[in-house]
Amino acid sequence: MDNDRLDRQNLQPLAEIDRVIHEPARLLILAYLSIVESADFLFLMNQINLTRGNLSSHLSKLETAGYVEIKKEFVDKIPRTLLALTEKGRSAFHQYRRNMKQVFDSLSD
Amino acid sequence: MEQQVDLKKIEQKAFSQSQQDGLMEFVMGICLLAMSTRLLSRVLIGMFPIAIILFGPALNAMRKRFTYPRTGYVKLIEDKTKDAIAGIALVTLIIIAVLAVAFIFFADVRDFGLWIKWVPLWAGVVLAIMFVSLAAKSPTTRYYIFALYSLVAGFVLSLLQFAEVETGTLLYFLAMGALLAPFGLVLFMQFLRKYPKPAEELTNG
Repeated sequence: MDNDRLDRQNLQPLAEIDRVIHEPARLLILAYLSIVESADFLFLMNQINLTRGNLSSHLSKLETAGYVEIKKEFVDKIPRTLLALTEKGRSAFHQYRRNMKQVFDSLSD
Repeated sequence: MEQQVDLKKIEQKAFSQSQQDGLMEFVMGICLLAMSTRLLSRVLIGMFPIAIILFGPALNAMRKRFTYPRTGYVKLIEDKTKDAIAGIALVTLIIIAVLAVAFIFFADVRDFGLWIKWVPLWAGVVLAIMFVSLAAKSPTTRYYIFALYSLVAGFVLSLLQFAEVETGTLLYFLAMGALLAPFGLVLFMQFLRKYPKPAEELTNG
C-alpha cells in the first residue's frame, strides 16, 4: 500500500510534464526566449538551426498555448517578426524545468 | 538540434552573437577619439555626458542598418541602469578617497590640477570594470585585454607629467580610441564577410 503511494508520488511530476514544451525544438525556443527580452525570427532561426517552416510551425503552437507573443512590425519598411516569452510561458517553462528535475531526481541508478 | 539546454551557455552564446559585429568597440572607439580631439566639447567635464548620450543612439543606428538584417535582432535582458550608475559612483568615491589620502600625505589636496591629472586613472578603472563585466557575460579574451590595457594606460598617463594638466586625459582617450576603433572595424569587416546581406524576402519570418 505504501509502495503504491510512493510510486504515485514519484510519477506525479511525470504526469504533469507539459507536452507543448516537451518537444525538443519548442523547449529550445523557450530556453532562448527565457534569457532575452525579445528576439526576432531571424535571430532565433540562426541560433536554433531550424528551417523557416519548422520554426514557424513550432512558434504557432507556442503562440496558441499562450507561451509566446508574436508581433509583426515594420522597421524602415522591412517586415520584422518580434518574439517574446509571455508571463504564462515563463512560468510554464520554469514549472517544466522543476518537473523534469523531480523526474530525474526520482529515477534510481 | 544537437544543443543541450544549458541556460547559462545559451545566454553566453546569445550575448557573444549579439557582440560579434564589433560595432560596440568601433562606436566606443570613435567616441573616445572624438573626445581626445575635443571635438565633442572643449571642456573636459562636458565630454563625458555628450559621449554617453551619443554612444547608444549611434550604436543602435549602425546595428539597425548592418547587423539586424544579417543575423537578426535580439534585445538582451540588460543590467539595470541604476545599478550601473551606482557602481560607477561607488568606484568614483573609492578612487577619490584613495587619492585624497595620498594627496594629504604626499601633495596638496586643494590643488584642483592634481585631481584633473588623475582623471585617466578614474576613467581607466571605470572602463576596465565595464570590460570585465562584459567578460563575465561571455568569457571572451578580448574584453580582458581591453580591461588590462585600460588600467595600465590610465595609471601610466596619470603618473606622467605634461605641460597642460588635461593632456593626460586626452591621451588616455586617444590611447583607448586608437585600440578600440580599429579593432572594432576589423571585427565589423569580418562580420560583413561572414554574413552577407540576405535577400529582403528571406530576412524575417
